[in-house]
Amino acid sequence: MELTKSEWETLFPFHLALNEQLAIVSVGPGLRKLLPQLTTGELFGERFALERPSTDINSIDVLKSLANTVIIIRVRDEPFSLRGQAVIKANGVTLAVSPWISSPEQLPHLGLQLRDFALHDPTPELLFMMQGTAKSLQESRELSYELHQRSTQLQLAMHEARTASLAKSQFLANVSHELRTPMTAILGYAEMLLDELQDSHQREYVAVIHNQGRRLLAIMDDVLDLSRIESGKLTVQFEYFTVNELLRDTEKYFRAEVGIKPLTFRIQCHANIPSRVHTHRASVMQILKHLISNAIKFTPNGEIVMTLEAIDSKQGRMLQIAVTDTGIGIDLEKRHDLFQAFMQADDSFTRTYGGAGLGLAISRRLARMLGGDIEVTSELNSGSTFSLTVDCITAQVESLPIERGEESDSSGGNTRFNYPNLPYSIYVAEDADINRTLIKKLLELAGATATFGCTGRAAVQDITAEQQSFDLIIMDIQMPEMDGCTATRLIREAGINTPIIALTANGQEEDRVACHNAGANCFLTKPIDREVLYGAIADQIEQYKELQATVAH
Amino acid sequence: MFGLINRAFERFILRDYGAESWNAIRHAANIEASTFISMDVYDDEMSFRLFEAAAQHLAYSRDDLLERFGESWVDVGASAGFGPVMRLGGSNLTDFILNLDNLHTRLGLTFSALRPPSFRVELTSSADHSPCIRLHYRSDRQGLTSFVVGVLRGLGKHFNEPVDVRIEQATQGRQASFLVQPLSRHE
Repeated sequence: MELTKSEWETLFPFHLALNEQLAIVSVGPGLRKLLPQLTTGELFGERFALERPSTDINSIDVLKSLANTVIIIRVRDEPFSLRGQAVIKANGVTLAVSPWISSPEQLPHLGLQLRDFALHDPTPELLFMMQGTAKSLQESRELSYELHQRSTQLQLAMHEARTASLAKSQFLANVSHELRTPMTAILGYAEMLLDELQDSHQREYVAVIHNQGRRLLAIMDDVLDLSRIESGKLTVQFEYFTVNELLRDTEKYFRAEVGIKPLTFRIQCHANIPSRVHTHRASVMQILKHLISNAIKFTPNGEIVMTLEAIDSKQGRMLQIAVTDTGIGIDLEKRHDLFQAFMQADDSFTRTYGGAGLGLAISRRLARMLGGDIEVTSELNSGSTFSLTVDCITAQVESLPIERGEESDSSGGNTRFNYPNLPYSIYVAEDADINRTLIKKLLELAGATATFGCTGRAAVQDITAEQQSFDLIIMDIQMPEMDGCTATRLIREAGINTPIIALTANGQEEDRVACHNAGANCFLTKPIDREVLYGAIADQIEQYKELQATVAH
Repeated sequence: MFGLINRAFERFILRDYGAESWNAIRHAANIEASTFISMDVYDDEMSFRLFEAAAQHLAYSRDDLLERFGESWVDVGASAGFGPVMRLGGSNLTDFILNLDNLHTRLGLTFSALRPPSFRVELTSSADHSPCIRLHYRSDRQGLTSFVVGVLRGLGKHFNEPVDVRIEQATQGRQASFLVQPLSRHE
């Protein structure tokens, strides 16, 4: 059945009819719209070329031979091709084709509309699909760009947060240093005055200054510690130590704190306590100090008992240290906020007992950093028990004595200090005049001879100079020209093994590590605890002598 | 519905009412997505939630809001990334309306999740004998009749042939007949 011209135009609006000589005899209305200059009689090859199959059309027979092949015709000097098939006719070939458009962007230039396409022709659908794909790609690029922008912003924000965090850490370190330096002088001179004054009233006044100074220092330390915990700057260093060391320290702390209060301190150890534990000694001690300090504060008279016991919990075997007092107790309703920072059981407590309300908040955070916790039980007017659990038991080695006990020293902090005999030659690097004077006095009182340098550089020059020999070096850390860590390192590099005690107002863990890494043997913080300082001097010199004796043999 | 609709609605609100309104509407409609993907399919209910929230926020009736959205459709929806394809529909309003069903049928064939409406066109004349178009509309979505009214007005503006559109008959929000009359005679 032959199609009429009208039917050809409806069904194949882009058709092109050729005669046996390859001359154009008929053009569909759609193709005429696309190529208005195209005229009948023109040769096919003048305006078109076969793109696929790649064949030269030099006779009608070539086109006839492609009747079963998809053909793509390139239109010379135009941005589109024609795609379709060759239909063999009695007097030639009709190419039933449609425009093949590679981009929807070409449409406006071609001026085609939907009605130009035969209804069966899926070319418009293909264009829609291409447009949809292009749209999706465009949105992908936009999202990718937005993601990149946000990622950059996030990195910038993280960088700013890190910078702010560093600045905060530096600020904390500076505040710590700046507060500890004057406190060193206040507490140090108050201690010396207590020893030198004869008038009991004057000694009482100075004792108040000394006690309040220590209290201020404790509050200051609490605020800094809480800030460091909350900013993640406080780290815990796990180490092995004996439980006996802990017991000695707590007894000593109790004696120092209890003053004239009529209180007894007892330690009870269950048989299942190992002799050595593995945790951060300083943190455990800090928690116990807070608990003992609170027990003393809220117990007018009676007894404070510290009980140590190994217990089994969900986390495994834990060390439990319970501090029980016979004090005023805590109302059930008021226990909830006890571990919140800046909270006390009652506002009236602050007025009556003082304190910043940070001790228990810090203690619980520290306990949790050590893998444990703190719980409280209490009965109003009967007393309280604060139980610290710490994940620190690694091996059962040996048991401790079942019970230790110590009566409080009722004479408190007003007893005169017994100065040790330390007849050594000690070099002190310290930039603050006021601290140099204090240290000089403390060393002289113990029978030591002190030589001073004001900078790290001066210390290195003095100590490494020939004819100079010291029994011990006390090294401040933050000094002008050259810091104490650098000076310590240079002294060690010069082959000098004299014991070095780092004495610094920079009390953070990283400072301790830095001093140790530089070659210091011991790390003490300001304000100076003279008992600790004297003990460290004696220990370091003794250890050094033992080492030399060993080497000599 | 395709994300294209939601994106167009976002663009319409941003353009005519500002970012603050869009954020409030998005929040009220409980839309968590920060953007819509044009060629992705979203639950119809999400779009209707947006329309509802916008109508409340802007103190329009829902039909009034949809009519306004429809009027902006050519600019904020169809032309935004689909301009070249839009031109396939025709170069004047009558051609475009005549091609409306073909356009939607072919779009539906291309994007099977589209569920486009169907149109039938009668070229007729009004009482004053001026030529006009009666457009019969069917959709399996309910409540978009006003949107179509807006789209037809918007198309009139697009082709610079302003028209009056009147709903002659509407059934259950899924079927309607519109009379589209030129406001000024088109030569």
